[in-house]
Amino acid sequence: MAREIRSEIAISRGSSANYLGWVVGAMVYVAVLAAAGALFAHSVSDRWALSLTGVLTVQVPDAERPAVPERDGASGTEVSRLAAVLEILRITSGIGHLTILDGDRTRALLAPWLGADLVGQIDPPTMIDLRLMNSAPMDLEALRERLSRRVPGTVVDDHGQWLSRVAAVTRAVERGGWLIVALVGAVAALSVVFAVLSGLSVNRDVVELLHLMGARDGYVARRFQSFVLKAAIPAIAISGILALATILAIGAISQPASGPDAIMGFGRIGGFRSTDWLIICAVPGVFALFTLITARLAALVALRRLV
Amino acid sequence: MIRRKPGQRFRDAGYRLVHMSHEPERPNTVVRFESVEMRYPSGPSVLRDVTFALEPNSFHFLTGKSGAGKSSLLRMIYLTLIPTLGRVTLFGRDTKTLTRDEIADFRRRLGIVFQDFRLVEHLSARENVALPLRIAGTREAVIRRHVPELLEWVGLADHMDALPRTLSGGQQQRVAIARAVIARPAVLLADEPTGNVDDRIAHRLLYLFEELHRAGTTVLVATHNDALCDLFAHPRLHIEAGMLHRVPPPDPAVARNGSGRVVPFARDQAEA
Repeated sequence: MAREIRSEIAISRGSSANYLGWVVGAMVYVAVLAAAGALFAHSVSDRWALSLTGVLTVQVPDAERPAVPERDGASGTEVSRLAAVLEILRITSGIGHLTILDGDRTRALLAPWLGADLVGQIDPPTMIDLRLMNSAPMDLEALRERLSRRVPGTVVDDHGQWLSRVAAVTRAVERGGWLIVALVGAVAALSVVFAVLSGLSVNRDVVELLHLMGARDGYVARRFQSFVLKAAIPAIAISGILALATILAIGAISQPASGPDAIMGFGRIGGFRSTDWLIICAVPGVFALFTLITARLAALVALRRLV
Repeated sequence: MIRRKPGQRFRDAGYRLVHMSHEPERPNTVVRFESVEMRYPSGPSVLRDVTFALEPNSFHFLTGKSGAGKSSLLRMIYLTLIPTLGRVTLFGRDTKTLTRDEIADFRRRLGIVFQDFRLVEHLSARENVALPLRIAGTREAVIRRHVPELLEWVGLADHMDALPRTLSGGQQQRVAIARAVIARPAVLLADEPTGNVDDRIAHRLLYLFEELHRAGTTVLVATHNDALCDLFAHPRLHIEAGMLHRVPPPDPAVARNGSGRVVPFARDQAEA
């Protein structure tokens, strides 16, 4: 069919139909942002987990005080707790790299946050930062036991607890985001259904006439689809573009705060995986397809009921 | 609109066969009514024991007072009504057995002209006439060629892009007739086509039907205007008190235009 042919269905004159573009457009805008939020939450939790796996922190309070002597070597020389810990770590397999933060360095790190006065009054434990080698999984419990036997009070932190909390939060954000996308999709579908129904009632005479001239339901449904296409697709395209611009704008604004490490980086090119960008850009397309299918189904069901 | 009630079958097919046996079977009959009874819910029967057949290329008037059941009978042919009892056969198929899509396909072989024209108000004459072809999926090039030809034939060459409301009643009905016949239907049904135009225009519209009949179309025109029927030498199906009677055509000497001489619409319209 040639493009310039006017449709026999004059839904655009129906009052509610005029709002279809606005409603669907707004829904797409919200959906794109919600999807971006969900994907971002997912990638943040992934990246944090990635940067913290393979890292252990051992806290040694009172590092200078003597360690509990080994039982069989009771006559041996007295060693400090830190030295005892380092000795145990040295013979533990799987440790790649090791950094010691003694009390002074920890205090130096904390000084900008707490102030020099306060920092001078505290006695932070010595921290040992361990990078594990990927090869063999480490037996954390065995390490903890060996350490606490000779150096009671040491804490081995694999960040698991903290990570699991972060994961719980990001998972909630992610699910919430997709829930919003689904809700907004349902609202968009409902508004398409109402537009089609009101279009059918406004054009009832014409629809009946088309049937008398031998039009199948599919023909009439296609007329409603093309109406929805005309009313909703430009709105969907515009909202999609606006939503993308919003994401990039958020990225531009938040850039200084997020730092070079891009742990945050929402809305920055590097803040999302490339598949995430694909999904974000696909949301408006999915909505367009969804509204068309909804329009067709609504028209087909209503035609069988009404006429 | 399509009233289909399950269980509306013959209760006594044997009786029916005996009853019908005096009428020989004609396989290519276009429309056949067999002892049709039509009754709307909670009302008396509109039609009772109606039996007739329309042969290919026949021309019948369907007469009777307003409310006699002419429209109901036409609606059973164009498939918006299913008989309460009896059987309506269209192109050899019992209309009760048609699926929704088959009904649509069968209607494409019918052309329908209504008393109130039923043109789509926001479409031009040209677009209105093109509708049946669009529905049938005809190629746009063919549509662009055929539609103006037909509008010219009904004398509306100068009004192709006019909206219906700017046309007179007679002009609108000519658009409607052009639309009814553009897809070359086997049967043309007209329900009081002259009801909304004056007598002079009515005559000219009937000449259009006459010409279509001569071109091979089966025509059934419902009208309560007996004087108009007298002008043509065609048989009548007359409905009275729910019963259908066949009235033979008037004497050709009486029927002034019995020859079916065609008086085409001039490019200008007499009624304009």
